Amino acid sequence: MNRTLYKILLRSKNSTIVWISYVIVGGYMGYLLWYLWSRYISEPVSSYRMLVSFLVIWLCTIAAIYQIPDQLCTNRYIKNVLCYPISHKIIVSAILVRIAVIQFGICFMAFGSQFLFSPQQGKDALLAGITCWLLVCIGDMAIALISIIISRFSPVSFEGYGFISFQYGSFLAVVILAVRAIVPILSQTDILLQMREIWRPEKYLFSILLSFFMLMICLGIAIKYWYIRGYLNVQNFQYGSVGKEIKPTRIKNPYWLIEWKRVTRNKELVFFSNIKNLLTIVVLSILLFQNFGQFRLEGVYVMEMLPLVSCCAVNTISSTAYSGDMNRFYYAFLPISERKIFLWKTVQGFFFGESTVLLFWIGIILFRSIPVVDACLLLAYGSLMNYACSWMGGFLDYKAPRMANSTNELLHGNTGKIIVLLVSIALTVMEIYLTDKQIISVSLLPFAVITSICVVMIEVSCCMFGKEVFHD
Amino acid sequence: MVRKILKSMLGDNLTENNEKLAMVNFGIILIMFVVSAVMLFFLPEQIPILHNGATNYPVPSVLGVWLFPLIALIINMTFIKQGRLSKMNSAIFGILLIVMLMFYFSVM
Repeated sequence: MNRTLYKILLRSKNSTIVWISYVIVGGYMGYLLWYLWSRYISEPVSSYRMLVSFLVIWLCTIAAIYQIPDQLCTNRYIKNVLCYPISHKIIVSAILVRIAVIQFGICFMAFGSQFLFSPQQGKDALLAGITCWLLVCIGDMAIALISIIISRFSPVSFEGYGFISFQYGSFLAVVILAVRAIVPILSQTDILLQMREIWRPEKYLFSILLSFFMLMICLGIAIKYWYIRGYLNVQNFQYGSVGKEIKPTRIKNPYWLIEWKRVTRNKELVFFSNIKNLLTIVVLSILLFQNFGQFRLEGVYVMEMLPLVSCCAVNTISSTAYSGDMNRFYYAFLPISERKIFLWKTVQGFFFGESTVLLFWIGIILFRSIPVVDACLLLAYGSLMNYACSWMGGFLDYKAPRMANSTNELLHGNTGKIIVLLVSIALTVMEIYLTDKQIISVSLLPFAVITSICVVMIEVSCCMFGKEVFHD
Repeated sequence: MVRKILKSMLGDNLTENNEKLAMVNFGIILIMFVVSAVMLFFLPEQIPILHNGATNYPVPSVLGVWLFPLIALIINMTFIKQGRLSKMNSAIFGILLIVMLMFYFSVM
């Protein structure tokens, strides 16, 4: 029954072949991870069980923070089954059990692979896996409990913002805590040995079980007395604006408004996608910096320019400008200018991207001693490339919008982003090469600024004079 | 089988176009698996799968050779799940196949 209910509540179903594929892939990845650790890190394999537990808990908690509040409290399909004689506990358990099963799979992949890798430590791996899963379940129940408390006790007008703050706040807290914990562990492996002495699953299993059952009782009480009322409060928040009296206003710029509404009503697009972009940039920068010797790229501001241009290139707002805009179907027969729409879409993409550029620039100024003129040139370069990339992303999405069936806009426009990233990095590498080989007798930063001005001018000219391009 | 997977993942959004694209993607992934299996006979005992600057991290070929096809399989599942099947994405699988072949020839 839980399975059927889950399908009704979340409109989601997977075939057996898909699950088998996930199991094979998970098993392989887990085995590979254990192999690499045992081969290339000198500490005994058992020391890494703690690290694996930590990574698994981190991964599962992030998934739970993202899924549980959405599936439990803001899920509109729950309303459809409330009229049937189904207990509230069954509704909540159908959702929580499903998430717990997926998390069990993740734990099994992580620790089961260790069992395959070194069968003599199978008992320890099993115990660590069970403890880890119980901790993850405790986390799930805590998240569910907090969600129910927010939905029941926060004022109806504040409900939605409460959920957004809870989800994003806890997400950021978990990420920051994890980074602060993992970096010292990986840099000083003796910490692992110390932690192995402190963390013994068999020692803490009873306390964990006790917490598990206590939290389960608390959650049961919360579901019985607060859940449904809280759920209806959240639904009222969503539809509360219908009855609100709207003051008559004069829309000065409808083009700006269309894009502004598209961006601001999608929290994933603004928040998670920017987090994802920042992570991409960090990974990309690390890869680029580590391999500079092989690329033979040398110059005074090379280390600053490449990450800066990567920041500009991965602009979700511009790369989803059309594929994420449901209104685009009406543009063809409404008396509106395609060029103006495009212009304001790129301008908004520029403004949202500029916040990342400014953050990056402030970071550079704070941590590196750069002359004032060069700092200004770097900002000008970042801003110009930001507009250039926003234009390119928007143009690619205008000419080839993605026809996705999914409503999840988080990952929209990735292909466009990759193309913009490749083009912008290729342009920067070309600038570095030309100045490094002294083919152009200007220093790198002024030359890069001049090039980016030229690129922006070409793009603006195309927008101003290319009527055919925009079917205007 | 592909149709069943697509039906279960996409439901009513299953169209003739995305079915065809999924077939193409699965076909490329199948080729990747077959090529990897064949290349096992020609590859050295160990192949590098990671590198940090100048340091390489080799693993046995029997283990490392499946990395590319499995990554492609995960990406394809994700594309299907999110309804993101497109010609561009199929082209990316083609590029991945070429990259895989180039990598194998470079380590031979």
